[in-house]
Amino acid sequence: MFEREIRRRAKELLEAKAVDLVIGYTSGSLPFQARPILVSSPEDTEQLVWNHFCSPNLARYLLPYRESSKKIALLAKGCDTRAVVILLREEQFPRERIHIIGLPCSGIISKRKLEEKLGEIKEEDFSWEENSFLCQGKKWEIDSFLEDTCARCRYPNPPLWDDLIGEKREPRESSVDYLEKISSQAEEERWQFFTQELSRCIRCYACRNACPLCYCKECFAESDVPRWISGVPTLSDNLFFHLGRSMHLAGRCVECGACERACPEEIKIGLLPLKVEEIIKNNFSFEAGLSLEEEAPLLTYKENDPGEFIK
Amino acid sequence: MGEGLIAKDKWWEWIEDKKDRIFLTERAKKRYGEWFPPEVKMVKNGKEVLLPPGEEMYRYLWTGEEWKVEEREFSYEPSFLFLLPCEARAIIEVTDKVFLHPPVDKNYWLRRKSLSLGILACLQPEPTCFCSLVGGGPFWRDEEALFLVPRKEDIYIEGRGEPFSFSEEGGEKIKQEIQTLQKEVEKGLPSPLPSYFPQELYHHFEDEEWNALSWRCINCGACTFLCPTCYCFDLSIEGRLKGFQLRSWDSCMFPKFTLHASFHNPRPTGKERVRQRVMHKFSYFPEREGNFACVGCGVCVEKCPVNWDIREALERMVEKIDRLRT
Amino acid sequence: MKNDWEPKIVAFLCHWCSYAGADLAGISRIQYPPNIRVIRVPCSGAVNPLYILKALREGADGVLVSGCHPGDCHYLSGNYFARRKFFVLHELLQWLGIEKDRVQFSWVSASEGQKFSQVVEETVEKVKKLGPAQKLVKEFTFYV
Repeated sequence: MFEREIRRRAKELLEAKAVDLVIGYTSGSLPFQARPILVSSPEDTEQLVWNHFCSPNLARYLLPYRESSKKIALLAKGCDTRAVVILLREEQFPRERIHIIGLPCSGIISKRKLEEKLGEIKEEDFSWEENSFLCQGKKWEIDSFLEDTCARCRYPNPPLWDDLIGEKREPRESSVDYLEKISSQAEEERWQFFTQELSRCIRCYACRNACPLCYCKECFAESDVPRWISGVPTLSDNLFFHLGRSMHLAGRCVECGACERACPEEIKIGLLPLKVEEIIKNNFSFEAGLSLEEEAPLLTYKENDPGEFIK
Repeated sequence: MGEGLIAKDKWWEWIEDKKDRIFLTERAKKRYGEWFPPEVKMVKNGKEVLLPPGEEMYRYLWTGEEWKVEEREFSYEPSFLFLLPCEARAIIEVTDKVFLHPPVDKNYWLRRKSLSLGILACLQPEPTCFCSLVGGGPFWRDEEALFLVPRKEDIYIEGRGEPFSFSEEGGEKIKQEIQTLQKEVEKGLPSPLPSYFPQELYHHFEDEEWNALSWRCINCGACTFLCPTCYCFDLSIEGRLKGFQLRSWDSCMFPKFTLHASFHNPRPTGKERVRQRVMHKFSYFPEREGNFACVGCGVCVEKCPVNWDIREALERMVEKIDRLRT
Repeated sequence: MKNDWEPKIVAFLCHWCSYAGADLAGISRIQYPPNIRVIRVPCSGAVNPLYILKALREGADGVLVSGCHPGDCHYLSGNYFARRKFFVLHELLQWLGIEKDRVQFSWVSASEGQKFSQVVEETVEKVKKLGPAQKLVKEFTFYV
């Protein structure tokens, strides 16, 4: 929708040598897929795309450049920009090195949901709009096809940007919040759901590696001294890993859902970090990644913090 | 034992009898699920049966005076595994060569010898499939395994060791039909990699193409764990004075895979690890064993979170190699 | 009969207050249930949520974390951070389906020997009612 402007701006920045690299999206090798791309020469900016399948969180690709001095322009959706804000706040980069090309986002569409509702699909049959699409003559709203984390997104607009391409939009009203749905189930049912889902986990760590905020040099899951979990994907070890990861993301998760979209087993792995963020929002009035001046919720305290659970 | 057609009802008789000892891979079930009773056990691929993600090797105990070690003995019921040709090739041409050539891995051998394979011909390759690129094919078969081509009302079976009551023996007419079917399915599949590829790829170890190729990879372990041929494992001890040794899946994509005790890591970044994966499958293994350690099933392409496509990597390297050869 | 099952509870006690409180209970010969296994930590804020998960993984039926009262921390604010951190952890575990009373917390000062024994009694009683821990315990045998 705004591809031409994006390509133009990226080309300008590279030609003026305002940045050394541009990280964005390009079309994938499979239909209905987009992949990250690194552009370092102005001619290659023609390969940049921006559509409903731009799924990975590009802030993750900033992490290898922490030690270098290169200046990087990043195409960032609302949630991706929040991740950049947290990385800046955690002093991983000086602000001047990152040039944020902010993209207000109407959500990522799940290929699986498309196939479920529409059967066998071919790319040629579709024409895409911001909030709807045409397929074989029929118009559909994208609401029911969005990825679960996108359906509940509260911050489609980047909170911080150097360039803003696209129109700011309001968060969606009508869509189903899958976290609420799970929370409304009975406790035992929820436990059954999680044990079922997490038994399928093969501990490939795609969720952790796709997350822009999981950047520990050595993850606790792979630590030998101390050794927390074994290398086998048993249910107890999987629970340990996901609970531990959610706690390490407490107050830092930007609810982008990249972890869930990365999972090869299609497990609803985002639910645990999302629940932690909900707990923090409801009790400490904090949402991660919205401003550079915010203070990490677990690094501050108030005298009247909830404490009835302590004897 | 011969080959021929078996009518549907005879097939069901034969299969009902064994349904408790049958494994069916997920991809085979997707295509041929209607030919099998619902009670058969579904597995992701052959690796799950032969090389489980976690396995006890031995147990030990400090008695107060000495270490007692008890090796774990397992025995397995003879079973059947029905799978697609690419998955079967992964077992017969890759993991068997690794674990059954001396020294023989005892656990793998015990499981393997009690497992009979039934190769279901692949009649609908997916857009991510590329078995023909790496020396396989949708009708690949092995003489030690059964070979089945399910059709509308009957199944064509080639095999030995199993008593089948063929409704029609495998005469010339049937063979022709199967061959025609094979040619049709193989239309449009990529042609094999050149025979000089393994050796030439090795000479491109320092090529700067690897930088561009490996940039996108996030170094998770999804491709290695889902790959039917990846067999790397880690050994660890669980427990202190009493415990067991554990063999678990490991991935060359993990940062600690080649971490030495001196803390030197010869593959410190993603680039070395991605390069290693491609070189191992397409250069080191073929030079030693004669075939690629990749069967072209395409699961890694389908599941990679960032759409890292091994076919593209191969294409680029072939292009480079061909350019330098001319 | 399940009546002779005794729960095993891992207790992380902060060195400056709760551990001293437990010591005082011992010196004063106050009786309290022997089910707790004490691990001394410098401060309740030093207790990593992973320790609690690890204790549950290794088979502990319950976990107790105890620190100084708010305002009295030897390191000034460690227990404040602990309060926030454990609130989040406790809510998360409860939401997941781990029973509320498996992981318990308390403030016990160095002079509260009596309180410490009461805290332990309460903890053991609550955990006894829940039965042996099953949900996060590691499995011993694997796929073969």
